[in-house]
Amino acid sequence: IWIYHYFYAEEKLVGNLVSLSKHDRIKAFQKMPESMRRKREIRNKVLREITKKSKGRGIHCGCCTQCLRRAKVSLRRFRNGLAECFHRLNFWHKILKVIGGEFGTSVLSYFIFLKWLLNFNIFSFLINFGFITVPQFVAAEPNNLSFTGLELLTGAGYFQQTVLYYGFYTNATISKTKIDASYNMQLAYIFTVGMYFVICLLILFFSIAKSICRNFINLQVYSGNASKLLCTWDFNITNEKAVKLKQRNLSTQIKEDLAEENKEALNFSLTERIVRILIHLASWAASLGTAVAACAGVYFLSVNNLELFMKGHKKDLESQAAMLVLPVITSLLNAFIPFFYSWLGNMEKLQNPKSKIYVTIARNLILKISIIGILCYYWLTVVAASESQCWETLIGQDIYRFVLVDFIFCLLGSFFGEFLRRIIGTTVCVSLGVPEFDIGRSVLDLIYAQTLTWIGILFSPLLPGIQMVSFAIVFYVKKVSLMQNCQPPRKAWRAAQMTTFFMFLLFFPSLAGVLSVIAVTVWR
Amino acid sequence: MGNKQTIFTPEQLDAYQDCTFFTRKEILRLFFRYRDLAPQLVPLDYTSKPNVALPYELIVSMPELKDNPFRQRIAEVFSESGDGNMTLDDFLDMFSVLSEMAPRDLKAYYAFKIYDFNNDDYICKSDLEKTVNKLTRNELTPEEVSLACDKVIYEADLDNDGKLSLEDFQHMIIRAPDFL
Repeated sequence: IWIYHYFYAEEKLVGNLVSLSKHDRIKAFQKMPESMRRKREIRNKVLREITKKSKGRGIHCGCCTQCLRRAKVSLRRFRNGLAECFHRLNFWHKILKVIGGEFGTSVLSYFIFLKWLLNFNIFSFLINFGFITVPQFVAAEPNNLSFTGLELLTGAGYFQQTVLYYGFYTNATISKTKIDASYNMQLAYIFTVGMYFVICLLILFFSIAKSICRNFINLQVYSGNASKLLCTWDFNITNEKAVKLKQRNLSTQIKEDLAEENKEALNFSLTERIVRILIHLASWAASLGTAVAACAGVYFLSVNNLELFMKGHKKDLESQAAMLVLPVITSLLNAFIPFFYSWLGNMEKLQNPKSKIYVTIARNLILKISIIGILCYYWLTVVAASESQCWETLIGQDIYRFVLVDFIFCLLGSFFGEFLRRIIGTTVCVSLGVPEFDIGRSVLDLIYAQTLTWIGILFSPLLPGIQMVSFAIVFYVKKVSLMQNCQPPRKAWRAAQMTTFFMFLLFFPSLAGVLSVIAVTVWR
Repeated sequence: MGNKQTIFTPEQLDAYQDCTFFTRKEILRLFFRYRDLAPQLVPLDYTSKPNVALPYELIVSMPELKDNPFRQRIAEVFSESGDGNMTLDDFLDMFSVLSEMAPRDLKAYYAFKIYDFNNDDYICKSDLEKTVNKLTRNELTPEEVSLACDKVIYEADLDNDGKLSLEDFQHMIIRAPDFL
C-alpha cells in the first residue's frame, strides 16, 4: 500500500509539473527538497510527458511551433548570458564573502550598506554627467583663474569657474547652429536632479517595504529562546577563531538567560528608583545640552566664516585656508561627542544592553540631525541673502569642503580608532584588548556623508562623483583596518532588523530633509 | 558561448542547471573544486556517468566546512548513502541548498534534517541536547543544557508531543528573520 501511495504521489507531481510553464517548472525543480538523483528521474519523466503531448498535438502546426520553440530557446540562452554578464558586474563579491566568513553577518551588513550607498552615487554621477555636464562642455567658457594646490582642499578659486559648481552652468538654451535641435539647460538641470531624487525615493521606499515585510511582519512576541538556539548559528562563518568566539558567546548568552530566569526581579526601593530616573534625566539633559551647544558653536562659526569670505580678498591663500575651519570643527564635534555619549551610556547602567545601543544611536542621531539642520538654515537664509554674485556656488563650495573634510576625518578615525587602539591594546595596556568594529557609529557616519552629498547635488552636480571615489576608498581602508585590527563583535547584533532600521533612517530624516531643502531652494 | 567543455553532455548540464541554483560556469567551477579534493579518484569525463563517491574525510577538509560544528551532520544529510561519502550529485546538491540563492523554506527543511541526529523525522530532546553541545562546545553543564532544551521544546512545540516536527520547526523559522 505504501508503494502504491508513493507512485500515486509521484504521478500527481509529474502531472502538476507538466502543466506549468517552463520558467515555473525550473523554479519548482530548484526548490524541490529531494536528492539530485530523484530530481533527475522526475525531470526525465516530465520531459518525456511533454514531448509525448507535443507530438500528439499534430504536425500541421509544425512550422510555427518550430519557430516559436527556436525563438524561446534562443531567448533563454540570451537571458542566461545576460545574467552571467550582470554577475560579473557584481564587484567586491569575493571581498564581501571573505568579510562575512571572518566576522559574521553583522559586520558584513555595514559593508553591504556601504556598497548600496555607493551604487546610489554611481547612478547619480552617471545621470548628472550625461545630462548636465556633457552639454555644458559644448558651451564652456574659458577659465582665467590660476590653479594652486590648495584648491583641492578648499574647492574655491580655480574650481569656481569649472563644471563643479552650479554657478558655472549656463542659463541659456544651448543650440548648435548646424543641427536644429536645442538643449534647454535650465530644464535639463531641474529635471535631471528631480528625476534622480524621485527614483531614489522609489528605490528606498521599495527596499524598506520589502525589508519590513521580510523581517518584521511575522515577528514573534515571545522573543524566542527557541529561535535563539536553533536559528542564530551563522553558517557563513568559516574562520576557526570566529567560530570559537561565536560558540563562547552563545554559551554565555544561554547561561545568562537561564540565570535571569532563576533570579527574581530586582525590586528597587522607592528612593533608588527616583535616583535612577534622575540619572536618566540628567544624562539626557547633558546629551541634548551638548547637541545644542555644538549647534550654537557651528552657527556662530559659520556666520563668522561668511564675513571672512566677503571681506577678504578671494585670492588670498590664508583666507581661503581659514575657510576650512568650519568643516574641521564640525567634523571634530562629530567625532568626539559620540565618545561622550557612550561614556554617559556606560554611566547610566541601563538594565537592558540592547536599549543601551538604541539610546546611544538615538543621541548620535539627534546630534547629527541638528548639526545638519543648523547648517542648512545657515546656508539657505544667511548665505542666500548675502550680496555675493552667486550664492549657490558659495554653498556648493561649502558642501565640497564639508564632504572632503568628513572623508579625511573618517580615514583618520579609522587610523586612530582601530590601528592605534590595537597597538595600545596589545602592547601597552593588555587589559583593553583588541577593538571591536563599531557598526552603529560607522553606519551613522555613512548616512551623514550621504545626506551631505544629497543636499549638495543641486549646487554641485559632480559631487556624487567625488563621494563615489571617497566611498570606494573608505571601503578598502575599512576592510584592511578590519582584517588587521579588529575582532568579531561580542554582543549579538540582529543584523536583519538593524539594516532595516538604518535604511529607514536613510529614508526618513535624510532624504525627506534633503527634499525639503531642495524645495526651499527652488522656491527662492 | 560555445559548448567547448567535454566533461558533461549538454543534457547533463541542462539537468544540473534546472535542478540547482547554479549557472553553467558555476557548475563547472564546482566540478573542479570537487575534483581538486582527489584528482586521482575523479575522472575528467562524466559523460559515462561514473559512480565515484569521495570519502567523508576529504569532504569535511574543505575550508568552507572545516570549522563548522555541524559538518558531520551536513555531510550525512546530503550524501545519498547516509554515511557521509558524497558523489558529485550530492556535492552539487549540498552547495545549491547552502548557497545564498536558495529560498528560506528549502534551507529550513534541510536545517531540520541536520538537527535531527537520529533521523526519525522529529527533533526530540536528545537531538536538541546534542545540538546545544555542538553549538557551545561543551561549555555548559548538563543541567543547563537540559534546562535550555526544555525551554526550547516548551516554546516551539505546537502539537504538544514533546518533540519538534517539521511543521513546528518551519513555524518557528518564519518568525526568525536572522536565520541564514
